[in-house]
This record gives sequence, structure tokens and C-alpha cells, in this order.
Amino acid sequence: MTTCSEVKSWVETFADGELPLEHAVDAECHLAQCHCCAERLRFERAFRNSVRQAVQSDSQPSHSFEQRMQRALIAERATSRVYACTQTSSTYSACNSQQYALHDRRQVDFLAKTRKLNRPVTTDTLSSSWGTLSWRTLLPMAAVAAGAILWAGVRNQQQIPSGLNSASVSDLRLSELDSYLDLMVNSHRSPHQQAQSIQFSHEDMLDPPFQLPPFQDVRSLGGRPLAVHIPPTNVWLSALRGASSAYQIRGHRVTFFAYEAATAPLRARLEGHPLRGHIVYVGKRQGYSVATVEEGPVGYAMTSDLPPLEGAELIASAIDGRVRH
Amino acid sequence: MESLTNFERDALGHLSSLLAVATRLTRNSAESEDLVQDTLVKAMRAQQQFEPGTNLKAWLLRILTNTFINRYRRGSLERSVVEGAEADPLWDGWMSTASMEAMRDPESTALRPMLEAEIRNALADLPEDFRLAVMLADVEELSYREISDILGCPIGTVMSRLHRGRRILKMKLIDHARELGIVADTGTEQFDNDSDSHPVSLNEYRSRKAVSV
Repeated sequence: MTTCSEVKSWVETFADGELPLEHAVDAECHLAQCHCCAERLRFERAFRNSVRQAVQSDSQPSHSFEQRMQRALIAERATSRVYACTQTSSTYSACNSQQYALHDRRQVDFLAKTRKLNRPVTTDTLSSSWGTLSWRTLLPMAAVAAGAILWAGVRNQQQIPSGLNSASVSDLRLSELDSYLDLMVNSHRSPHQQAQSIQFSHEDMLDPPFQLPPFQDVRSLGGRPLAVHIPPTNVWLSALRGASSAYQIRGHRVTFFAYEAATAPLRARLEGHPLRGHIVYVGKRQGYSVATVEEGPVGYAMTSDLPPLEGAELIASAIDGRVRH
Repeated sequence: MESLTNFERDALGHLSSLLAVATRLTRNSAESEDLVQDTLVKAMRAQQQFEPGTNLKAWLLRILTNTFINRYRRGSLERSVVEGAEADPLWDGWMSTASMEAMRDPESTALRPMLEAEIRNALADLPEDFRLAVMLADVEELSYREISDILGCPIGTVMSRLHRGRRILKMKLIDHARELGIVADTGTEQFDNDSDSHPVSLNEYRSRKAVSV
């Protein structure tokens, strides 16, 4: 005879549908006769339903997030194809003559493909792509970026002589540049890990480490008081010989980088777009967008979850802010 | 937009599940979205390892959990140390049928939104490995075996975490229900564990206690 005590010890597993058959039959028989145990089972099931409803009503992905994930998957598929190319053409010079030499050819890249554009992306198309990020958000972001880059630019120009590294672009393997881009994206997406692995192996190259601009400077650049959270992630990217700083602004995490463009011409792996007198190089890595401007020996890049073209606009705005200042 | 492959479409079909678990793990919406993106990208790269016919959601959640552990914990989920009142087996005691009926049917009292908020708060307060077990079982409805694979622990450990996690949740919800007047204060009298059957009423329970004394 099955007792209430036994059923009570089984009821949770029974409600999960995991009670072994030999006990399940006994439990069924008992539950059919015992109101108290049946109520306990109903409660267990109601409890699960309540937990499920409480979580699901609070966790529905937004339409913009769904679209972002779609873009990430498509971009990852495109990146896989690029990697396949890299395996067959090991050097930059070899690949330069192929379809993945992006710098000068302005060819349609995966961005254009995903947007069903069969022409180069111009300033006009960039300006029409501002559906998801308002200027209200952009302005403080651009101001912060400009301040950060201004500061980094001053420091870098003081510390990095031209021709610091004699390695020419053609000697670099494309995979190295890819690894630099991956390093950037990894730094962006893993701020916690990043903060735990600060390396100072190149402090002689950039000294002191990249720092955030004083808050007042940000305001003086046209930004209003910023509702920004600035995590303490001033980090050296040892392999890239640069520095980064991460920001979280209204739900978007953005990481800015200053790096040695002479050593690591990342533009070779990105697609160039003319924008306000600059050439902004954009691309996607692991679903995140990368945008960089390389003028002289220093490159200024940013990674974010923003669409690539919005990232391009942001970095161009930041560069303009630096120039105006 | 470029068309999606079958695998990509299937994976995106589990977006809400991935986001729900990621949100409960990271407790930060921006980080949870990045965690989901990271998971999907890794799944794309490893899609050859997925065995068609098996549970894609469980496979994706396994990637998500491992990514979270590697990124934030660098080893394993934080071990839960539950002490004090929460460690006491209060839930093993008896709760009146009427109280359980009231608790399981909050819709009729128009208090469901408050209860849902309380559930989310209680879930957020759970130790991490309990929270994850409850999420995977009660929200994502995975089997013990699947949860065991995801968490990398024996099924017995899964059951233990589930039981303890749910017990903490239930206790908090009972307290909340009492405050809201859904159940009476007398609804969780301790039951005599030596007895074979439950009393059908509080009066019978009290008289039984009197006899045993």
C-alpha cells in the first residue's frame, strides 16, 4: 500500500515526469484516491507554470535584437568564407590580388549583400541607415568617443615615432590581421575577462596607459551631461600594441581602441567607405561591428553591437570632434 | 536580408529561451544579449558537432552555459552555500490544501502580476547553480539527463539542486502570499513526519498533535 509519505517524496519527480515507471504506477493509484496528495501535485505543476510564465513574460526578445542576431549569424557565415580564403592564400600580398583585398577596390562586401545593395556604400546610404540609433544617443556617444580619441591621439603622437615598426604590410600574413581583429572583438565582448588579464608588456610604447578623458572635457566637446557608465577597463592589448577603453551607453557597449596602424594595418581586412573626408574601414567579426580610421601611424577603432555603418558614423564623428577641437 | 540556413533558422527559434537563461545568469540586459550572440556564433562554428534529432535547445543552452562559465567564472559555477533558515526543511512540512489551492490559483485573486514579480525577484536571489537548474527544468522544461549534460554533474546532483532551489522559491512565495493575504498564517503548520497520512483539516491536525503529546 503506497502511503502519503512515499508519494510526498515522489511528487516533485513525478511532476517533472521523471519518476521511474514502477513508482509512477503506484503514485497514480494513490493520487486518484487522495485529495491531499493530488492537491500537492497540482500545486507542483502550478508552481512550475507560474515560474515559467513569470520568466517568459519578462524575457521576450525585441524585434531589433532578433534582427541583430540574424545579422550576427549571416556575418559569421560570411566570415567563415573569408577564413576559408585565408587558408588558401597565406600572405597579404597573395590575397591582395584576390577578392578579399578590400582596401582600394571598394567592392561590394557582405554588408552590401545583406542590405541587398549592388553598389558601393556612400555617404548617402550611410545617412539613410539611422533607423535604430537616434542622434540623442549618438551625440553623447560621439562626444565621449571624441574625447577619448583626442586624448589617445595626443598621447600616441607624442610617444610613437613614425616608422616605429619596419614591417611592411605585404609581409604580414592576413591571419595575423585577423587575429588582431579577433583580439579586439574578444576584448570588447569579454570586459570581465579583460579586466583580469591586464598586461603591461608594451608600456614602453604607449605611456601612460590609455586613459579616459576628464569628464569636463567630454562636456566641452558638445556633449551634455552623460548618463554613461564607464567601467574601469583601461587595458593594454599587448599583441596589438594599443589600448582600449570600454563604455556602456544606454544599453550599447562600445569599446574604443588606439593602436599602431603602422604595425597592424587592419584596414587591409576591412571595407573602406568615404565618409566626411575620412576613409572609414568597417567590417564584422563574430557578429560585432568593427570600424576604424587609420590616419598616420595611429589607428582609432571601435567595436560594438551597433550595425557597422552606424559604427562608421560614430568613429567619423569622433574624428571630426578631434579635428574641431 | 540574406536568407537564413535551416540551422540558423532553427537556432533563432530558441532565441527567447537563450535570452531568458542568459538574463538570469548575467542579470544585465546588455551582457545577456552579448552572451546570446556569443552562443549563436559558437553554435554556428560547431554546427557540425550537433547531432540532428537531438534537442537543439539543450545543445544551445549547453554552449551558453559553458560560455558564461568560461567568461565570468573561469572554472565552474559558484558553489552555493545555503545556511540558516533556508537550509531548514520547512517545506517538508505540511501546507493546508486550501492554502495550496489559493497559492496555485493566483489569477482568481487578480494578484498574478505581483506574484510574477515576486517569483522573478526570488529567482534572482537564488544561488547561481540552483537558479540555473530551476530555469532549465521549470522554464525550459528540459529532462534531468539534459540538465545533467549541460551542468556537467550527475543526475542526483541535478535533482538535489532542483529540490533545494524550488524549496527556497516556494518558501519565499509563501511568505509573500501571506503578506498579500492569499494564504492564512496558519497555512504551514508543521506536519508530524511519522504519520502515514495527511490530516484533512487543520482541526484534525491539531487533535492528532494533542493525542501524540
